[in-house]
Amino acid sequence: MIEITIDQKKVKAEEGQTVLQAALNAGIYIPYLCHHPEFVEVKGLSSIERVYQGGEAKDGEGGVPFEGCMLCLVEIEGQSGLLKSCEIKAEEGMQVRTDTEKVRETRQENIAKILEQHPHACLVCAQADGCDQKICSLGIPENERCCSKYGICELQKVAEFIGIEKGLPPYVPSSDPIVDEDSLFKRAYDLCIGCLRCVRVCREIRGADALAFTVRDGRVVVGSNQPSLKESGCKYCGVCVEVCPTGALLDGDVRSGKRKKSSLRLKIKPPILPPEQHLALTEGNLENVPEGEGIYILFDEAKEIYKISGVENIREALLEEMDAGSPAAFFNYEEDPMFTGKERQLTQQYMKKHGEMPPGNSELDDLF
Amino acid sequence: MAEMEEQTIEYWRWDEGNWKNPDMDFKDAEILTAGIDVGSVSSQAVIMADGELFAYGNTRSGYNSRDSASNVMNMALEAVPGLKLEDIHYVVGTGYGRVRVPFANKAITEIACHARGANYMYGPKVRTIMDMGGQDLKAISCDERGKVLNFVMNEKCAAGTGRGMEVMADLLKVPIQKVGEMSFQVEKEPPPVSTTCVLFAKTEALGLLKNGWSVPKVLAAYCSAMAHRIYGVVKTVDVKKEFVITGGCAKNSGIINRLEKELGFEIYKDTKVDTQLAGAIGAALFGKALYEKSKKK
Repeated sequence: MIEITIDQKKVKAEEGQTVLQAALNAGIYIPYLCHHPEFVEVKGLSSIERVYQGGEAKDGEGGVPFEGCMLCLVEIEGQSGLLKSCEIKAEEGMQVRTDTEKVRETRQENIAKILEQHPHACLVCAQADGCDQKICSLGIPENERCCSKYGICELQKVAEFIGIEKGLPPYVPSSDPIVDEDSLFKRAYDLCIGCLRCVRVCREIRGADALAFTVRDGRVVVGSNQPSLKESGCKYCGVCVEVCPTGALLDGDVRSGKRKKSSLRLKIKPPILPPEQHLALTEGNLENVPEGEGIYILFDEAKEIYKISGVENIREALLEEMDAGSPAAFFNYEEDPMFTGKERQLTQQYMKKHGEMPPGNSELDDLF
Repeated sequence: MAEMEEQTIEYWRWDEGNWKNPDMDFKDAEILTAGIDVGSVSSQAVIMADGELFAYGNTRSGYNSRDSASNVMNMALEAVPGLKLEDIHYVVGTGYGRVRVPFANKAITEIACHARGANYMYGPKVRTIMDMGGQDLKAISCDERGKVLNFVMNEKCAAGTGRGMEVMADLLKVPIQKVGEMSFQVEKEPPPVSTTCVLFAKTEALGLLKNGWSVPKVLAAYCSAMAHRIYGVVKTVDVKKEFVITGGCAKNSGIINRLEKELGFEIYKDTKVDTQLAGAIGAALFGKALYEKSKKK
């Protein structure tokens, strides 16, 4: 074991681990999109000359190394510029900074580059709260708006963590095909951000090597190595769908962006997402909670959402929860005069992910 | 010669009022509960006697939720000579301004109240509820007890909501109660209006009138677009044939019939209770259960 310092906090790392892996293991979040907890070593990936998106062949440059998402950048004392924490191996005594002004700004520039080439209108829309995403009152065409994964999308969470700059140019729709000839998978290549997680996981975890990428006009273009998935060696295991941080790869028969739950699917670790604030449910912490209108969220010991509620007086409501002997261990809150709307919005987001209401929201169960 | 009085007809104004069940006397009731549903456009107060619909008030909401709650409660009480607020054992507030009912014992989310109310109005067979309110749309999936399993809500777009209909009724100078009936006075069903946005639909409607379309034809085109928009929202929850519609817009046959065509089946309409009362009824029923629970302690 070696010891490094990240943001003035001492962190233990194993020999051979990258700075990113060491940070994530220690609970320090550094944003990333092309990395995944299943990837152990940094393996160089290079482009090939032709890939297939459905029946369509896409030709490009071969032999171009993969640059990466450029989001995990950090500053290291003694080294100039910003470095990719997913590539740098942790060394004894290293001093790492993840929160400098330069790091923040550069990450925002880089996520903006990714978002510009991906439909993102809903992420920057002032009217997003309470919108059911069926009809856009602003008249934005469907192919510029967020896909069915809105609210449970990893790219969205990472972008919101890093910060989306104002004045982000609108997405210009591409002519990339949507391939759903295999009824098991739906591949929307206009949503692909070229993170190559699917290519790597297919190669390294599944050993099928069915996917690859080429480079056209400086852009990473992903596809299968043969015209059909079957010919490419695809085993239809679905890990590519599991790791995709956007809605580019979806299960063909599951609605609204949810991932298929199947015991036959290869089990892989979930990605580590930007942290949400969890305050311990204690009287001490409640003293700082305002007595105004807003919503509060209760979490259980495992930091899973237990209850979502909109109230007139947040502090009073939380004290009542404590007095009533709530099984919750943590909480978070947000002031909002339109708390009934906010409560509904958050509850809907929860249901989109879990398919049912939060467990603690069933306080009315004995009133039927 | 007598002067002609100028009459300003408000086409968008739907019927407000109060009512009391003529066959019931509040003095015979063991438990009296009230549900107050303060919505963004309308407010209802329902009084249940031992879990049966006893009296109600229905009025337009003001800008102050507290006042709206008090006003509509007084309206309901006025329908029952001799009944005072103090006689009510338990009051539950709900709706857009649910926690601002000053005299409520508890506030419960309107989604839960609507499902419970629909269960009372249509029976335990109800599984899918579409609440077409004044300014929002809700699609709710519930079980046989009226408990919410899933829901989808839209609060950003007026298309398909009461407000959207009020705007069109006003523009076309058709009393809102007659919109549905009128929309069927066409020889052939016209194509739906191309935009669902209420603001743009106004402009489009004026254009159609200029092109010689009759008012019924424009109404038909608008109702058709609304039905389609609502169908889009409903599809996101598990749509079952045991489908009901609550809210003021349920009284608009122009949208309901066209929605049934999109669904491919007929929805249940077998309730004698005003569909705008669903939320307040659910709230009053929860009130009864909460009161009984408190007595057991």
